[in-house]
Amino acid sequence: METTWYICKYTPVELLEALGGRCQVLDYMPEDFGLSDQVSHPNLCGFGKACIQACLEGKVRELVLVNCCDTIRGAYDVLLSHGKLDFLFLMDMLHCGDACAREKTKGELIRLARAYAAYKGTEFDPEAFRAAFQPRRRPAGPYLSVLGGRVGEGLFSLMEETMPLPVRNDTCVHNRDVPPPPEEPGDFDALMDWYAGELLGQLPCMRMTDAAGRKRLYNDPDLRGVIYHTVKFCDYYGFEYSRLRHELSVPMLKVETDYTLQSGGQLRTRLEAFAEQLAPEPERRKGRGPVTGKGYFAGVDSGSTSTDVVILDKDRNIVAQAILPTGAGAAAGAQRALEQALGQAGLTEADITACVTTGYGRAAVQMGEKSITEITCHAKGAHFLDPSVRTIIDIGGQDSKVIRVDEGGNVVNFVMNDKCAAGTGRFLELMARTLELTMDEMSTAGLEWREDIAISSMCTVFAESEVVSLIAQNKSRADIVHGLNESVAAKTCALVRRVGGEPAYMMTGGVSKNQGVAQAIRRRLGAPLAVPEQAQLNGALGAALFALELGD
Amino acid sequence: MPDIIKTFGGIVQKECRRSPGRAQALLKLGYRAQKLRLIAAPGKHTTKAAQMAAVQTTASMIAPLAHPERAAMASLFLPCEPLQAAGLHPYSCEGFGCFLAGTQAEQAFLQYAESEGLPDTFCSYHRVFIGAAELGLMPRPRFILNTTLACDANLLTFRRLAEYFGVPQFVVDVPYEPSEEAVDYVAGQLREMVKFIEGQTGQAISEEALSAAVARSQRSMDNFDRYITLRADRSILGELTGEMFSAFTLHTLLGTPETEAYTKQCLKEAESAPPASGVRLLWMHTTPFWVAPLRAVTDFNPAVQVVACDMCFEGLVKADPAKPYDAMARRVVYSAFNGPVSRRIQRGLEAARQVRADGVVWFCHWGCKHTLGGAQLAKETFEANGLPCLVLDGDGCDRSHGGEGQLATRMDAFVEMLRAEKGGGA
Repeated sequence: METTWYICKYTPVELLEALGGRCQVLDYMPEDFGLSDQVSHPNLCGFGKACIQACLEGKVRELVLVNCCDTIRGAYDVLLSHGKLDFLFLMDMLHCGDACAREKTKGELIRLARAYAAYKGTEFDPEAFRAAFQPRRRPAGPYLSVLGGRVGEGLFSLMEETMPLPVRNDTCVHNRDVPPPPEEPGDFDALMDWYAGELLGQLPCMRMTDAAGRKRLYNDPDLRGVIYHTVKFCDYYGFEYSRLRHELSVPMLKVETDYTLQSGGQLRTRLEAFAEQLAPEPERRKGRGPVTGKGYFAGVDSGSTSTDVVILDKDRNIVAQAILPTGAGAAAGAQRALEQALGQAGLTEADITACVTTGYGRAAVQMGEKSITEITCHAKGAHFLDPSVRTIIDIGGQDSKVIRVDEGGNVVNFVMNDKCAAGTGRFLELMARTLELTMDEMSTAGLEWREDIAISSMCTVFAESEVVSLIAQNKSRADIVHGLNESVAAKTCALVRRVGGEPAYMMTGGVSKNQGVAQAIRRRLGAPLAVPEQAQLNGALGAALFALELGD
Repeated sequence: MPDIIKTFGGIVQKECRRSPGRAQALLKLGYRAQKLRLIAAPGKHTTKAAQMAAVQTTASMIAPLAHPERAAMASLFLPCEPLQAAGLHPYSCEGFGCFLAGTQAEQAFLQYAESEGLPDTFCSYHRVFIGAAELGLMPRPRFILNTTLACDANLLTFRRLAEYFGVPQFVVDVPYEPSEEAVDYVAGQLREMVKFIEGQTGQAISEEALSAAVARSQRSMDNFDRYITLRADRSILGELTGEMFSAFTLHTLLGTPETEAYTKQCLKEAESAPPASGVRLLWMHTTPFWVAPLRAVTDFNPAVQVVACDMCFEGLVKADPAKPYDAMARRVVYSAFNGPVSRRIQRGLEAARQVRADGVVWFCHWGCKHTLGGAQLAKETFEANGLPCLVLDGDGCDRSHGGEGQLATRMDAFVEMLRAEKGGGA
């Protein structure tokens, strides 16, 4: 039998099943949005595009939508014209739960029942209706909640796999909860009136005018942390996230996806860092033998641009350090960098008691006892260098992150900006190339500026054309570079504010070597910003410190 | 002039961080100076009607800054006649977003919104406004009124700001399917809204004053509809910014004597305007008036004119002013922005025929999912009806989205194509 797919918790699933339907939540995460982009627009929300894509790929023949938001209404418009579906229905819902809304919803239930019965050639079966109500099972005891925009099965499995506590999917359609009908429900009309009331009485979603009832989701004594998910170009839940930043008393991680499983690596880094924040005790990698070596500890940070290695002795002295380009393979790059560091200290691999890997390539590097995310390692390293540090600004080649730490060097909160080169080392590299400057020249070129030029484009591609036109206008390089530094600083300081940054500030990562950017950030923060000598090695240093704890 | 505006915008943004009160006073002073400039020296080519719309809209931005205790924050599609009848100042979110962008003072507010974790994919008019409000540039209004039409942003921005300012909010929920039942439902809510305003102000709204305002709205809409028809054979030069002024005049300020006077002036000018010439464009959605290379194509150019914009005509309906609540409700329920996007496309098609447009520009303002979702359907439908359509991606007010050159290149190519089709050569 064909499946009838639905997307919204206000969908009358039990009614459809009472009319012979077999219903399932549509959570399809496509490889790409090629077909959808041909008939709609790339800047629709990823989930809306996934719906269109699923229909155009022929995976969906029957679909019941609710006019949830502008994107779903848009998807309905597109599917009406291009969907080639056997059954497509859009249920209109008001934005409140009052008597008028209940009456309106009841009318929509009856309209849907007629259309669906006519399509299926069936009649309403009261017994099937009752049987369709399934009690909701939830784990008891301490748990983590995934809130916000919908999270499909693939993404939720990744969250369950990485988290140290049971995880509940309380996003969007997944917190659907409708109680069974009363024993004496009356006739069909009365039953639909009751049903409309119960559907509307669920925990409200963000599209409802009065969303205060959502507090139930995070005012639970068993809640230990929140993973807040937003879908790119879906705006509803970003507002709740913005509010929770100020209200929530448990740790929260913000993740955003475009509703594909692309960039899984970056997502995993964030999830693992959050798991480390929740359960910070390092554990030795399973299956490793007894402690060996001669009391040296290595940290390997496999980044997108460079691979950094730090070797510590048991008294926490740095005995060797190396920074090498990562090259084409993370594993080979890590091996080369480690060999160079070992050579520097006159050691061999056998002298290393424990090794911890970090950075984007950490999973690919098959060395060491454990891999820990760069977020936790940066916190560790910065705390070691200066225990008064509370906020770390790390700008690397492909992402920028701001990490808040407590007095013990534990991660309290962090935000990352990735999937967009703006505000990263890559952005500065591209601009330096356009201005025909080396990275060293770029570092100081903006210090002697005269005219305050604002580079308004945040998109790297557009910013590049803006720079080209500034060159054509004969603007001085110093002024252009200063404008670029200010643009990176503005983006970074927005992240600092998002994470609730507070002094003392430390800057790490490759971009910390850029004096102009550091100065611009310092000015915007209105506070001192320390750039330690080991700024670029901070991740590797943190990893080596973890290795030392493992070895101890 | 642009440099003065840029400097002024920069000062407002900086001052906002130091002393919001001073920034507010500065903004008020700047808008008053701008109003005087518009009255005294509107520009060599600006028509009297365009001047009236600009002055009226600017005055409506000054009023809430000068008298916040008499100001009610309102969404663009909310029928504002009850506020006018009560002598209150509607305080438009989208309007201020536009004005702040026009003042080149939007970036600090956009950055604030980003630092608050608000999605950068959210409508930039709304992001600018939220930033300005929460950084203290916008005064605390008496209360907030909004419709759920025409987009999700209304639900989010106004709820957040009602909580932020700690002021009461009234929401008019507009059913998706246009029907007489929906008109009755919305009319009922508007009656409740009037009671809400009366309760908040302790001031009775006379049925007579309300009916008079609604009657003015109807006459203004009829005039404007006739103006579109007359414009089919006429050449009236204007600016992209002018379409936005006109949109505010015909929404938030609809029902005022000034709006009626504006529409009469439009008719007068159309009657005496020279015959139609050049490439005639129908513009769908807001206009990115800050994009200078685009303005170079469309502003005061006899060869290329924007002859109508759906932000101005989407709500033109025939209603009976003797039933004021029904008439106001009808305008929002039967708005071309309500219901499936095919209604908006169909309305665009009718207007294109009415005003004899040569082509259509469907402007996909960043973050406007309604417009984005319908883009390809619009292109297919307009072109199937013999009207070339350009889907233009951009941002109505956020300069940081950039792409001015790309926008202008697309526009130039489209105009060249239309010109060639008209037999004028590329």
